[in-house]
Amino acid sequence: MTEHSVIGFYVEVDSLLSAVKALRGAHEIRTISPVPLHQVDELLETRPSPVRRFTLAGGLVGFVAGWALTIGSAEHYPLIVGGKPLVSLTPFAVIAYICTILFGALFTVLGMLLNARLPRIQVGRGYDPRLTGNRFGLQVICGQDEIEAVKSRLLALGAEEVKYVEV
Amino acid sequence: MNYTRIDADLVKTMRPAGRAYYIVLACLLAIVAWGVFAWSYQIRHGLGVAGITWPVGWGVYITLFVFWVGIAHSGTLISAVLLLFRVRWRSSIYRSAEAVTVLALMTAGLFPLIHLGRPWVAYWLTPYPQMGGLSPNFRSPLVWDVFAVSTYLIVSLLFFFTGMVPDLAIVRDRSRGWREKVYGFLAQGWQGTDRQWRHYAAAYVFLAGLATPLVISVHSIVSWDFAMSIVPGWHTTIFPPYFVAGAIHSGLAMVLTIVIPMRRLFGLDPYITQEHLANLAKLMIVTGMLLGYSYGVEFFVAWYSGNIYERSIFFYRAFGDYAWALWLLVACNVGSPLLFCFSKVRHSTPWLIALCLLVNVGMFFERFVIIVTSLARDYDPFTWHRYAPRWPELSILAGSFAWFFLLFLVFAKVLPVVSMWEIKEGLPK
Repeated sequence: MTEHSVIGFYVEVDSLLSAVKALRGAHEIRTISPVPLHQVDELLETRPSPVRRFTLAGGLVGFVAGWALTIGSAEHYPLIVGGKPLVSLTPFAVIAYICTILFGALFTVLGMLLNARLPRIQVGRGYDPRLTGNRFGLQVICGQDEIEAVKSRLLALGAEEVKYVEV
Repeated sequence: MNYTRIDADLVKTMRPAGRAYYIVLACLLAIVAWGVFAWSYQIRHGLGVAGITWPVGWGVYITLFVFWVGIAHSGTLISAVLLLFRVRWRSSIYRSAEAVTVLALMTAGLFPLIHLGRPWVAYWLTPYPQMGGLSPNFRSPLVWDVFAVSTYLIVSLLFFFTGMVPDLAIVRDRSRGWREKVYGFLAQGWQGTDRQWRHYAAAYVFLAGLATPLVISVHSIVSWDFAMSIVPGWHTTIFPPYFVAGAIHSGLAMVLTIVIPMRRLFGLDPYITQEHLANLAKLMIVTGMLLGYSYGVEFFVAWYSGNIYERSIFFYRAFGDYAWALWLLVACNVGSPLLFCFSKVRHSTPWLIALCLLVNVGMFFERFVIIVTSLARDYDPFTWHRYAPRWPELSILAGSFAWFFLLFLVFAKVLPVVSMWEIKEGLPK
């Protein structure tokens, strides 16, 4: 089903933040900006990113995989080298540590991609090149009958331009 | 300074290059080709054509491996550690420093292969499903090295590329034709929505957190290649911190060596200021002094241990065949950075370039002295042997530098050399 939205273009961050403050709760909104705006997360009271859980999971998987690889291979082909114990915990800890970091990093990137819904073959509808440059966008999702009202509201809240976009 | 100007200035660095760029590129390519020829000659005729022979089995190749892994470290220090400490001036410089990390690791990774008599069986060092059920010896520091350096390269690449995604979107939006398609593909459909930024910022900090211990651990593990042995001059517990300090020292020198001409050529003075360069020089005073302390402790411990083999090798280092290299490296690595204590020197481009080049030379010889002297004078005087590199080693040495600078030149033209989104974020609101 086609949804409708209106994007307001702002020159100043402060105007955008005031608009977010005014419209939050009334509509589903999202911002598009050339830099991260941490104040938007605070205003919209979004939950912390779940990427941290991916990092933790990756670290744990790597830690277990590192030990499994070293101990498993030593047990699989029991060969005493240099009189050292078959399962030599100290040197194997080095591999486990490295695997922890490696898998932690891989899972972190995976978590970011999944949560940010990337990669995308094409940029989303309503995207405007100015929004990676020098403008801040506020996209308001609305019903067909609300489009004109939202446009007027965004203009009243300091938008220099508004644009209708199907989502 | 505003957003529009930042985009215009920094996207401009990626414009098609002039004739001088291609001439330099061709010269570097020729040196790389000569290095490749030397390697192919060595493969065809065997390792005997190189100067490495018993008992000095590790010569210029392993020296260069340690040197290039060391060069990589400052990039992670600047990009990850300074990010966690919220150091603002890092945003101008970290992209180039990260590129140095990735490209230096790509250079370092060649040397264990070049050093192998049969490079086509290098995969034996990795755990793969072998028919006989054999695995690599995980007790060996050489296998730790394979894991550590490969992990470092992968994590650095992830961090490097992730940090660049919003900038690639900026380039995509200011390009047309095939460039728009290529940068559009690399930008992965980035828009800059609050949702994307939220997860991106979290991932970026976690990647920095994961990369930070690597600054300490990777060169510690490389140092264990030596310290875990029982060779006099190598078997010492000071090696990990000593190697890490040296790695950061050499990496900072290389970053400055590269960034100073790049700043001039691309007109990046408003973004990479003299103050940024001076800050890096200040860091080099610290790392230089740490190195000086390490050199002193090494000699002190050799004397204090009462071990005649240790004492003998350090006496040989200071007054033997390679004494010139030792005193040269002390002067270059410890003496020359002390000049950065003077503000005028820190703020002078010719001084910065000259002293960083000296540190680069000094750091190469540091590794050379550690590796070669200990092997040349082992326990048994009957085996003592002087090592000198031959033409294949010297050609490959030159080729490795050309390869590194060639890759950097390509990077500087095809990817944004300064982080646009972070420069914008740092502007006063």
